[in-house]
This record gives sequence, C-alpha cells and structure tokens, in this order.
Amino acid sequence: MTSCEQFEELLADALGDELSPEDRRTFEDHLAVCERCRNDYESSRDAVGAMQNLPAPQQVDVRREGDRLVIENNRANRSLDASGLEQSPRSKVNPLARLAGRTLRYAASALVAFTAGYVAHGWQAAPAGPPPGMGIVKQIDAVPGSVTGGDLQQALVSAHLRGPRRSDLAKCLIAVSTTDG
Amino acid sequence: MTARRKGATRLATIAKPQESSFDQYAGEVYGWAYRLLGRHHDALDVVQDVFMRWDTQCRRQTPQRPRGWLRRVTLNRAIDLRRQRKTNPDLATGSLQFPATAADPGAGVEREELRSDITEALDQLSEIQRGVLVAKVYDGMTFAEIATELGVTPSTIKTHFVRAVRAVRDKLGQRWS
Repeated sequence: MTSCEQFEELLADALGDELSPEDRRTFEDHLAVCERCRNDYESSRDAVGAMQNLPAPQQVDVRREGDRLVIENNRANRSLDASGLEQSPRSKVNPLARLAGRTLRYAASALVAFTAGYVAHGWQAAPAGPPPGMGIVKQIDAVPGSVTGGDLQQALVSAHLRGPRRSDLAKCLIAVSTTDG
Repeated sequence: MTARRKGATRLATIAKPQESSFDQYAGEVYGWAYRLLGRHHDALDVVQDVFMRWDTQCRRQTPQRPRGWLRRVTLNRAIDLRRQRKTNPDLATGSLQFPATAADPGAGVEREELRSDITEALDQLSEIQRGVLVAKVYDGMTFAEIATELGVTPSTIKTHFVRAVRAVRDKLGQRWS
C-alpha cells in the first residue's frame, strides 16, 4: 500500500507531469484512499494551473544593430529610432510631405486635363485638311485642264472660302494673279 | 527609469559584442519579466536593467550558467519593480496588456490581482525556489534540465519545486477562500 511518504516523493513529478506510467498508478491509487494527500495534490495543481493561465508574453524579436539591442514587437513589426521612440511604417512619412505629394498629384492631373482639352480644342478649331500651303497647291493642282488666270483666281477664291485661316497665301496669290491678268 | 512615449519599445545598449550572449537570451528575459509584471513596458525596463547588470558581471567574470543567472536576476528585478509600482503607482507605465472585455469587465482586474498574488508569493521564496518554479512552469524545463542548469541534483530541484508550489498555493488560497 502506498504511503503518504511515497506520495510526497512522487508529488513533484505529478505536478511537473513527469510521472512514469507505473508511478502514476501508484500515485493515483493513494489519492483514491487518502483525502489529505488528495487535497494537497489538487490544490497544488490548481496553483500551478493559475500560474500557467496568466497571459503569455507577446512574441518579440531581438536583434542587434551596431551596439544597440533592438526588441521589436513581432506582431506589429515596430522599430525604433535612436531616441527610443517608436517608428511605425505609417509614422515614417512626414505629414507635410504627404500633403505636398497629394498637391502635386492634383496639379499633374489638372495639367494633363488642360493639355488634353487644349489639344482637343485646337483639333476641333483647325480645319481638316493638309497644311495651308500644300492645300492651296493641291487645290490648284486639282483644277482640270489648262489653267487660265480666271481658273486660278477661282481656285484661290474657293480655297479662301473653304479655309479662311489659310487664306493669307491665297490672298497673295489672288493679288499676284490679278496683277498678272 | 526615464519616462518614455506610450507605445515605444525600449532599446537596450550592448556594451561590447563579445559580451553580448545576452542578446540570445533577451527574449526570455523579457518573457520572465512579463510573467511577473504583466506590462510590456515594465518588462522592457527589466530587460534594460538586467542587461546593464549582465554587462557589469561580464566585466568581472562571465557566468558559467548564463541562463540560470539571467533568470535569477530577472526575477529579482521584476519583483523589485513590482514592489516599487505598488508603493508608487504613478510610476506605472503602459496599460494592462489584456484589458477586460465588455462581456467580462472584471476579468482584467481579477487577472491583475491574481498576478499580483503570484508575484508576492514568489517574493517570499528563496532565489533558487523562485528560479525552479519559473523554469518548470513557464520555461517547460524538466527537473533534470533545471538541475543541470543550476548545478544541483534533481531531487534537490524537486524539493524546491514542491515548496514553491505550496507557497503559491497558500497565497492564492487566501484569495480563493
């Protein structure tokens, strides 16, 4: 029969979960018949459990940086500057720099929009067709048959009517043609 | 100890590289301190203090069993710090790591009281009893491993362990009764 002295010898292993199967049977057999030892064991086991149930420390990473030891919260992945103040990834960006960047982006967008609008407007305002000089030459070239002074004048007038913006050259040619007769 | 911005993680300075086997144990030092104190920043304070003591010790003679030495010093320092916090609550830094939830508003307070009782019980123990208890319960070491680390026989370790557990039990029993 297991004695209380044997119980005392096995108590540490029982609380530390290091009992061999044989010793465990011996131990439990004594608990079944000895109330004092049973109370001793159960209350001690509860105390160990209370200690184990306290929240565990958070995981930390420890590394060396030069002559400094850095302890980081693993989960938050925080790092420290030389003053020991926390630097989160977000806090590394200067708020003023962030504002300036945002302003630049807006300005760039506005510039792109303006340029696109300017180009589109110019595209719409400019008459379709070849550059002024070439257009007149082609129109002139388009006159069928032999070209008389009157035909040339008519062609130039037509060119002027179709493209007033390009009519400066047309005006000159009209004037030249008129002078020539 | 200097005040610090809330949320900051303390840096500890290593004096010389050849003495910094400390850095391989720094995480455990933090864990031991946290177990007793329950506050992240207090635990970091202890890490820094323990490192300074380690540095001083290594200038004289590096401990033969560094882990055991560090555990002993850490637990002592954590208990000292807790004593200070108790007498000067204004020095406490940071909030409880695990505050109560809305469903159980008293849980955080109860947990903190439990931790306080456990730490007070540890305070009443001898250094070796304290070290054995923490090594067994929190570090998960076997009695043989603890005996090797501390340079004593396993039977001595087991005796210390049982005494330490009963001391904690008696302290907690006052709460539970």
